[in-house]
Amino acid sequence: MKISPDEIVFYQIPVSLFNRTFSIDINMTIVGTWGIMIFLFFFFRHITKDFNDSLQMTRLQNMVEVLVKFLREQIESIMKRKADPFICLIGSLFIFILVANWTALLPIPFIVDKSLEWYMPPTSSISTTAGLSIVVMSSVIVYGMKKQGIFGYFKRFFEPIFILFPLNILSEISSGVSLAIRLYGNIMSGGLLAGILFVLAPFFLPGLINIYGLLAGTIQPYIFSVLAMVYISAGMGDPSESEMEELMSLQLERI
Amino acid sequence: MDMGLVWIAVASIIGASVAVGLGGIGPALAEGMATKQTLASMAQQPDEASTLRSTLFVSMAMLESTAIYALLVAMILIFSNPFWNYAVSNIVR
Repeated sequence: MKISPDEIVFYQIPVSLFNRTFSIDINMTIVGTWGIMIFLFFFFRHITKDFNDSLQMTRLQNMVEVLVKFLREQIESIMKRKADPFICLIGSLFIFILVANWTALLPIPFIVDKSLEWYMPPTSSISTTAGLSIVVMSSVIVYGMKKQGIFGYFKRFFEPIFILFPLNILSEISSGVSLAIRLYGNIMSGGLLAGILFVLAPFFLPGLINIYGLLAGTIQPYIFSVLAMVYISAGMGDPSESEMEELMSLQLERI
Repeated sequence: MDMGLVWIAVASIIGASVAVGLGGIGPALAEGMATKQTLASMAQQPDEASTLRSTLFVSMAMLESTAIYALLVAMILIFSNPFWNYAVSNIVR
């Protein structure tokens, strides 16, 4: 039984670098990630083509507006900041992980080396989730430095006292690792459980487990983006008084 | 069959089962406590239900991740055990 989409290799590109030869594998993770990315790109481009300001909007425009409004409200309530600089990153992470988790239910067959392989979602591979977590942790650094300057950012690691510097670094690294492993473990265990129960009791139990997987696959992107917001806003320090007032006036305007 | 291999297999299987079994206890108790408290708070303050629910989801995921770590160790022990692979490759040589 395959437990990771990394093991399903479609094509190998041989590379020789520094007198050593190795191969870059085009595996299920890469194919799935790019498939989802292309699907999302063309889907949202198709939707946004006929957006309008009137009340006579299409259903898909309504859907996108609900999604964006939800993300904005979450960002403003959790980060206590204006949502504009973060909505691209957080929203992309949320939508990508959500769609990737939901594709776990699609039974897409692939023929690899004359044997039948089934589609697995890219989030059930540790490489994808580790990549997403690297994106989040590096954006913590970028946003923090943009806000506070380089020295202001690194001051965070020497608080409350300079002896705690190694522990602060460790907690930064472990929060990134746990972000990756949480998503990977949840999605992988859901798929694996469905596979094992399919061997034991086909027809009924795998369906129930897949419904549970759908629930976990809906909650996990929310968790991932909420934790990304928490880490980024912790890296940026406390919001200043003027920022808070700006946010308050923005929220009042909306009402 | 080499007895060393058998012992590696036995130790891996027992280790995986113990990891999942013991690793499930803590998160299960913790999630129960968190849910209990959240339900009590929701019953007291129904207006705050949406905030409580979203906080509950996040804390659930944090609690669950400890169980996921245990599961991951068990999966590594069963499906890609480094000691087993090392022993097998040495015997083949």
